[in-house]
Amino acid sequence: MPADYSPLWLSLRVAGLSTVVSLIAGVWLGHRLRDNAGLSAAAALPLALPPTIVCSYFLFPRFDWRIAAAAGVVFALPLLMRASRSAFRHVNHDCENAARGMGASEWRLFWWITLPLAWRPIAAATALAFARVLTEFAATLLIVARFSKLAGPRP
Amino acid sequence: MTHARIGKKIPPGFSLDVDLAIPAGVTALYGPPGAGKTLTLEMIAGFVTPDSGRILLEDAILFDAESRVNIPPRRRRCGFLCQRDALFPHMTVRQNLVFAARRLPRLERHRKVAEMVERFGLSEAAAGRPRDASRALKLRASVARALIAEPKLLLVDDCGVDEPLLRQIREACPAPIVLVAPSLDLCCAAGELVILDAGRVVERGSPREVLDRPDSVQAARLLGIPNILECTIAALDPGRNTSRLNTGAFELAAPYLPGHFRGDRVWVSVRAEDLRVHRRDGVLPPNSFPAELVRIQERSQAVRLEFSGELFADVPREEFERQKDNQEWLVEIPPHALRII
Repeated sequence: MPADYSPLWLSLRVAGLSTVVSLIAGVWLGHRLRDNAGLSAAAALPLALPPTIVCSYFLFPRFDWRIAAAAGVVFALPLLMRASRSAFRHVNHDCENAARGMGASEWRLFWWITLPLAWRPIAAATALAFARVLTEFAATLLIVARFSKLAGPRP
Repeated sequence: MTHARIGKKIPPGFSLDVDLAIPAGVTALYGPPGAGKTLTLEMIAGFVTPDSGRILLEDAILFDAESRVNIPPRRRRCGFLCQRDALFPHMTVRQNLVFAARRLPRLERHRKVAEMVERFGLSEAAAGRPRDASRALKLRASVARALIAEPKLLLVDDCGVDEPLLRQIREACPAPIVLVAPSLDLCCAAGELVILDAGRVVERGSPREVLDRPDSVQAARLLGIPNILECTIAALDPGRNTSRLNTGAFELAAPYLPGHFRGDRVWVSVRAEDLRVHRRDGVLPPNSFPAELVRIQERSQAVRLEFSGELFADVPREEFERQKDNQEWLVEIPPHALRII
């Protein structure tokens, strides 16, 4: 029997897309909320939700792997947001202030100083988030499997 | 005109209220830890927002609490050297300098970076990362980086700048410099000295004047003058240009004190190095009295002798070696060493 790689490909697509989206949104949120403990705690709340409950919000009548990726974002985003917030908070403020004193705009400051100094923990969290979404079986089962040929004919 | 009048409350219990005119040249801030020196610099640079007041730099308003003007730090053009090393660790030393020179045109940028590398002796370290450089080299690189951005005002926190480096900075930087001085020796290299304590300016003036004649007991204590005596004026003689002061324990002859009356209470300070000590043998020299030696402390330049009645004398080491076997000590306060506060 020829090997069917389509589930692996599907998982990689779902995990890849949700990680990329969460990375961009998480880094942005982490930077914006770095001095706001309350909002960042609120944004981390989905971490406490059981995966089945989260996926049940994404049970739309039509299947699309992008919907599964959206469910993955709910898992990955808090992880990345927390990690990037913590990474940004540990960046040496003196470096940032020195750059501001030299006339660097906040945009330039972010790309040239803050992000290069904070990228290691963010990269580690990205790997974690990718693994978390890839192995999230509940999402796959609930959303994708209902429509895929793996689940067999629907009753 | 460059002037900062700023107020800030930091709960619990600390409030800063400083009025600081910044003339051209070097202004040194001196005070104990927690006096608000760094906070003052950070507010001028714009990293901390004051609660009240106004900051002017070359007549341009950087901050005004009443009209709610608060120019962001990047548009203030204040160079800031902070206490800790703040070179960007992910760039080489040269890239650090180039980052600061961004606003210059390309050719000018490279010329300026090369000039600063040459001036501050960074040519060997320029290609390496800051973490591979020594502390002194990192400091010089930070200074060069701050100067490349051509600041209109240079704020130097207590980062280990010494006199030769300060001289180099002055040669390279025409802008006024505000310096947090860790030692009184560095204060003397400045044109203006401001003494801060608990968020207030205690005294200001030229360093020589402030160090020689502190205006208040607080300033004298902060400047490390150990002998501060409270006296009553026992006699005044304008004809002979003399007066007599009574400390309670002994009487002192002093120069005439204009503007005072008999019976007034005044504070007198005497530097430890101005006090003289003798062996007691028969005749008492004028202005001297017997005292008991309580403690001997070794100092870098001299030996500090502590006598009963909280009197401190710094004696050169050879002099101390000559006198260390004294049975009884006489302390002499020369009239010219008395400073009325």
